[in-house]
Amino acid sequence: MNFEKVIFGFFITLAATLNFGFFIGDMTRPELHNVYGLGAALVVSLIATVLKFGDRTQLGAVHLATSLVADLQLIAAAVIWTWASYGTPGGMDGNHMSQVISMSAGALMANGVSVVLMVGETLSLRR
Amino acid sequence: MAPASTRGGDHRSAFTNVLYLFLRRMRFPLVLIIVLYTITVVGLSMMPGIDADGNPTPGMGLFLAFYVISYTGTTIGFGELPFPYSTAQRLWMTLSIYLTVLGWSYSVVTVLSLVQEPAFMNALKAGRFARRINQLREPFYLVCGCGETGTLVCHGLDRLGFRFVVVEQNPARLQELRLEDFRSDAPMIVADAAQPGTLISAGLTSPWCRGVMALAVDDETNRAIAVTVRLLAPKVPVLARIGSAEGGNQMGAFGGDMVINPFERFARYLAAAVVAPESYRLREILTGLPGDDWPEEHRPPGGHWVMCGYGRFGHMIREELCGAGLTMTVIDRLHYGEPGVDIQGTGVDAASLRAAGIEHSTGIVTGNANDLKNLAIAITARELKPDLFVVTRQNQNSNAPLFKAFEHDLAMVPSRIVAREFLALITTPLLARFLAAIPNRDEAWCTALIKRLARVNRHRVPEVWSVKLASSQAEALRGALVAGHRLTAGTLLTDPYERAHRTRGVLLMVARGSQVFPLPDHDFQLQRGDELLFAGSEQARRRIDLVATNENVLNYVRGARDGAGGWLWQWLEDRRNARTKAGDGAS
Repeated sequence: MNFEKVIFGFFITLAATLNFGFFIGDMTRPELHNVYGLGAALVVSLIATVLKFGDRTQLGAVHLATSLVADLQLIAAAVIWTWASYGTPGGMDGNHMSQVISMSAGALMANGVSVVLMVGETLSLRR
Repeated sequence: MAPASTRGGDHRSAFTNVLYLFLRRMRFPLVLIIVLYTITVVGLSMMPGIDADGNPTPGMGLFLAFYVISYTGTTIGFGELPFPYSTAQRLWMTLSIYLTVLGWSYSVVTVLSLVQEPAFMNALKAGRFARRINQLREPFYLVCGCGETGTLVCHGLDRLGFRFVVVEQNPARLQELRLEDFRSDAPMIVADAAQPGTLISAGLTSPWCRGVMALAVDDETNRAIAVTVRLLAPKVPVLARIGSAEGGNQMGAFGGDMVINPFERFARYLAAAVVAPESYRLREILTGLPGDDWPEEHRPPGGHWVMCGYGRFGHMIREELCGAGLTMTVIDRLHYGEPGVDIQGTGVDAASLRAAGIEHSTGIVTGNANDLKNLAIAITARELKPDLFVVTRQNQNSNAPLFKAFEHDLAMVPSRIVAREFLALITTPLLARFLAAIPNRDEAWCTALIKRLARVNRHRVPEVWSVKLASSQAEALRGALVAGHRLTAGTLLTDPYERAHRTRGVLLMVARGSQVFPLPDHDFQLQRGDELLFAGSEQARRRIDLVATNENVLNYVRGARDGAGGWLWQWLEDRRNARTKAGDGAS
């Protein structure tokens, strides 16, 4: 058992599941989406990115790329959320929420790619 | 590791090595900071606050908490924003301050320790070295190993105005070399030159690499360097110093005469100095460093000689001198009993020297590996017979003052011999062909040439350089030859400022394919593709260069007519030149 692989697998999967938890629910209803869910997804995704720093394999580079995409999308979602909550007169509404959820959906896709890559790598190793 | 196919790729990979190393080591500190920030931000966002009237409010939320922790964690600290805090918030902030400072300082310490680590420093240095080689856009030489010989070679190259790159395995020695004064800033690196990768990153495959000199301590490394160069850069000349005789033979397959055994060289020179002193002297002058003092005249006498020390050097000397028709008595203690050793002893004491027949000898060679022993023998021998011709072997450069104080007749410094030969041969490959032709000539020929050389550079060692007629180095000559003009050796040696005079230079040789014409006279007809070897003062070199590159000057020295003066004339001239060039390019 490779401990490094365990740690990375844990974080990449956790990032995907947390993001999924945040994403699920009606896009236009802010009460269905918790800001802490988004925060947790962002933090875990950042950690997964850092864990791929300095990996010289081809797959490691792709992992780094996909998790950087997820980070970028989640940060954008967080910025939109903050702006909608504090910077607009009406506060968070369904319109803003759908933008946040779109961003997180994109991140979820990137997370999905990471997980698929990881599973693929594991399967090819078993062969 | 990815194969480095190009030099650019190699230098990039050295840089990415450093980057990857850095990122890999920063993983844990970065994750730690992210985790600490998460804990503190989430905690602070949920801590109940208090408003201006003292009423409890819900937490400040994730964004504001992140804002507060960001300025606290980086120790900027604006105070309690946006509202004064409640006790619960202050408690949590206290914890947060310590946690974030801990995380940051750990990261900083990690970065510092990484920067100080030798492996990281080496990676960084290798990257910088490769980048500098990559940026080198002028001819340079690769010097592998910078012991005494290497240092001498570097100084020689520096004086001749060439760039060089140094590869040395011993960091202490490289440090010493860094302290030496060089006009150019030479890239130097601590690395094993026997590794092909090292030579490639040092610029072996660069189009600007003009030659490699293998001067490492052990023969094995030098042999490896020679093989690497032969295979990776077949056009780059390589000179290797090989101490042992067998090594020399093995090298033959790779580089022919490009191997120098200092002992064998000196022995041969000494024999040559006895048999043909003038040709020896000529060789000394031509391989000397330009601008040095004119070498002293040595005339080792024939007759009976005494040799102290019968190691590799002793064997060579005995072989060569006996071959030259001299008789010799060998004194040695360690090798006594071997064929060739006549007297058991060191030579330091008068008794063993007397036993060797010092009274009726004409010369003595002190050939031990120990400098003080050599000097002791020399002094004893001098006392016994004041008119003895004394040849000393000096091993360490640091003992030079001692040898200078002793009035010896000939000092053999192996490192200097190798350095001079290497320099002369690698900077002027044509010179090797000329030197090879010398032994076929008689003494009178050599004497005459020495006299001419002494005249051209006012009793200083002359510069020796070559000019290739078909190259861009001699634009005007090429043009004239293409146009079918008659060019003689005398044309080139005419003073470009006053054509009635001659430039103070000597045309040593013209090489035409595999043919050589030593010392051609002034009517010698030059052809396309000829390579000329000149010797003369620096001034002469400039003047000959001027004739070779400037068409107007060439016309003037040919006596055709004066160069174009007015602008209209110049314009016509330029058009004609352009046409000539175009014709040249097409042909």
